[in-house]
Amino acid sequence: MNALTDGIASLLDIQVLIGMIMGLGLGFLVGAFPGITATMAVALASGFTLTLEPVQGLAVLLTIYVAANFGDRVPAILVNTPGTPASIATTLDGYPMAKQGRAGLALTISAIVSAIGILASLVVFAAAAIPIATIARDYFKSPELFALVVFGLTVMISISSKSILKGVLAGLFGLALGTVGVFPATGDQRLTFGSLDLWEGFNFIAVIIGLFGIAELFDQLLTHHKSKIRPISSLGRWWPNKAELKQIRRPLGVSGLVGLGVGLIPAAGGDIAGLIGWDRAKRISKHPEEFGKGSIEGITASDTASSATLGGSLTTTMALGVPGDSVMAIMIGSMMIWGIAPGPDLFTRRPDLVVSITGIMLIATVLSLGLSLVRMKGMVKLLDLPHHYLWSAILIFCIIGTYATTNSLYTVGTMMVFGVIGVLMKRTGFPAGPVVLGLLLGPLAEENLARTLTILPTKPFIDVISPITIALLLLSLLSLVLPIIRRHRQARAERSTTLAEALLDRDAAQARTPDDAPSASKK
Amino acid sequence: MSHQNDVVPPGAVPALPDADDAPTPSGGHDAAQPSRKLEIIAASVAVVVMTTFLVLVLQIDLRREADAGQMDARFWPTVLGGLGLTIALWRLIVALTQTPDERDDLERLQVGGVTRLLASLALVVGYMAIWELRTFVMFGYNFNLFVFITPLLLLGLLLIYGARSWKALVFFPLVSTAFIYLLFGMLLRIPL
Repeated sequence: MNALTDGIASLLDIQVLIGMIMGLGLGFLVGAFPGITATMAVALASGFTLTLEPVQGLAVLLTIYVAANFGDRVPAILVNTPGTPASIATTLDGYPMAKQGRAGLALTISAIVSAIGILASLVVFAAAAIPIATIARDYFKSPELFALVVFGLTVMISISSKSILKGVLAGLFGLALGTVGVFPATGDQRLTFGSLDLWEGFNFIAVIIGLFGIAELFDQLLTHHKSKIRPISSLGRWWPNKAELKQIRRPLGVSGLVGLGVGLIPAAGGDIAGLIGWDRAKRISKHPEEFGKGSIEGITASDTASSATLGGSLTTTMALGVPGDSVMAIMIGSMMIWGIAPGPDLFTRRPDLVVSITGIMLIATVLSLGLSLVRMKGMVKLLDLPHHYLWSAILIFCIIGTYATTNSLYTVGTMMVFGVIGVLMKRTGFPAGPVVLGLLLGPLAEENLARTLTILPTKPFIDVISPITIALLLLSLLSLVLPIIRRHRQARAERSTTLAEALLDRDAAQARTPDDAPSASKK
Repeated sequence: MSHQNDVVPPGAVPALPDADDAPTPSGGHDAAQPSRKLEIIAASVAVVVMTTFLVLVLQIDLRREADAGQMDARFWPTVLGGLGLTIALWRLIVALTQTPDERDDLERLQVGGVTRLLASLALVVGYMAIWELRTFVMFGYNFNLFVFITPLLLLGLLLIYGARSWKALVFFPLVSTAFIYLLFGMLLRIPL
């Protein structure tokens, strides 16, 4: 059998279908509840999928990933609160449309263009994954792989951090956590303090559930207050007419390309693509003044761009082993536990997986679109569900999910500790993404650096450190330095604007003084 | 447009400069204020963590020294610790000398929030301590502790989170525990 039939055959399994249905429900739910991200849901679900076959587990996790991308548009449109960061840009035109009594139309257009965005990105994945993996396999040896890890980490730091220094510290903290355990090359124990539980390092699932699930929950406990905003209940008409369908064509094309491009950048996700896509569509629109005021073009652009990142993220994750976004970082962890190492070798050894993953994503997208169009009215009611149910359920499922990975309460304790660390990091502006990436990729970086240092004395420098390595390391440096320079420039520009305004105010005051003086003296 | 008052939900990234003229979502957001004290404390903790890591790493016992040009078990963690300590000190200087970072992507702490969090933590720690015992014997029978303490944990959490109806306090804990026990304990055979 060839890869195509193998890949399709692995999908013809009742457990895959059951997994997808569960993933669909869970993905929609987490997407619809503001503050509960797809990352958190995938982290939580990864605890339960470890005992499944890889394709069955991927069916659950990928379906959550896709379905959350549909569900998160509901609160963005109806309550002006993004269900996940990927739908931030949806609020820009979605909520104004809802206020105008066109919520149903906004929800329908959002679902349709999201599906188109994901399907387009799947074409990119299906077409590009194997060639990219082949190029990477042929040209990426230890030095290039080390540089690629550094590049992935620095891109995530630059994107996820307001402060680059905090992002770098978070990344180093993650890399430091990755050193705990037995050093495979020599068998030396590092920072295990004689504990058998630490021999294999920190349990990855416990760490990610702690940092993304528990920390998010704790933050909600700290900051929750009763919202005065009620979901908009008057949904209006659902189906777009011909003129409205015509309006979506141009922003669909432009923002789709933006999403596909952003998706291929490691660590850049739908949140960034949505905002860039919205901005680009506005620039080419015949009616840019309508953007932000309930424009159909606006909601089309934001949702197409953010959804079109999914295939790109998947491509960099599976073909290069560098996570496309935080959900993909968790996916890599789960796949490693299943004995599949994402990276250049994966698709050359298992090309059937490209077919299986594409099939899962395709079915998940079609099911999510169907559910979106049929069940939107029911989703609106979910927004009224009291928080006490949600919080209690999340906490107990995080506990049980983590316990199920090792059947040990030590793992649950690890999760709770990282939950506390995660909420402290969140409140102080340290991003969790680089920690997870550092923990995940740290051993890979160390292993490849060790190999490079071993080879280096035996060959000429330029034979070992290739132009690809140098380019990747330079790009890593730029991704850290450029945001710092840009922020300094912005701060300087703001300072000079403030100074200019102060000088203008002073001049104006001085100009007024001759007129004011007599009146003042009269008093 | 400045992002000073931009409203972004928890976990979201701030708006890009390209989208400067974009209106922002609201959703009842009550943004946290910048705090120099918090920045200094966070940077100091980072310095302590990285120093401790570096000290511990330098004490790693090596079973054998690495060959020339090769890495031993200490090399990589030492590089990370040294780099981490340098960056943490740099961050401390920044925290001491520059204006604190904006925190408009975070919500402000609410009254009772810390109590809610600490009470939840205390309950979970207590729950884990009792669950560690696994079983108890009564009237000569061995009972699984999990099925008794899980509804109690959920009841406690629901009370802390403000639930007061009998449906929430009785029905939800019992149904949830039964579901978890059936799914994980019986179907997936996880030793709860």
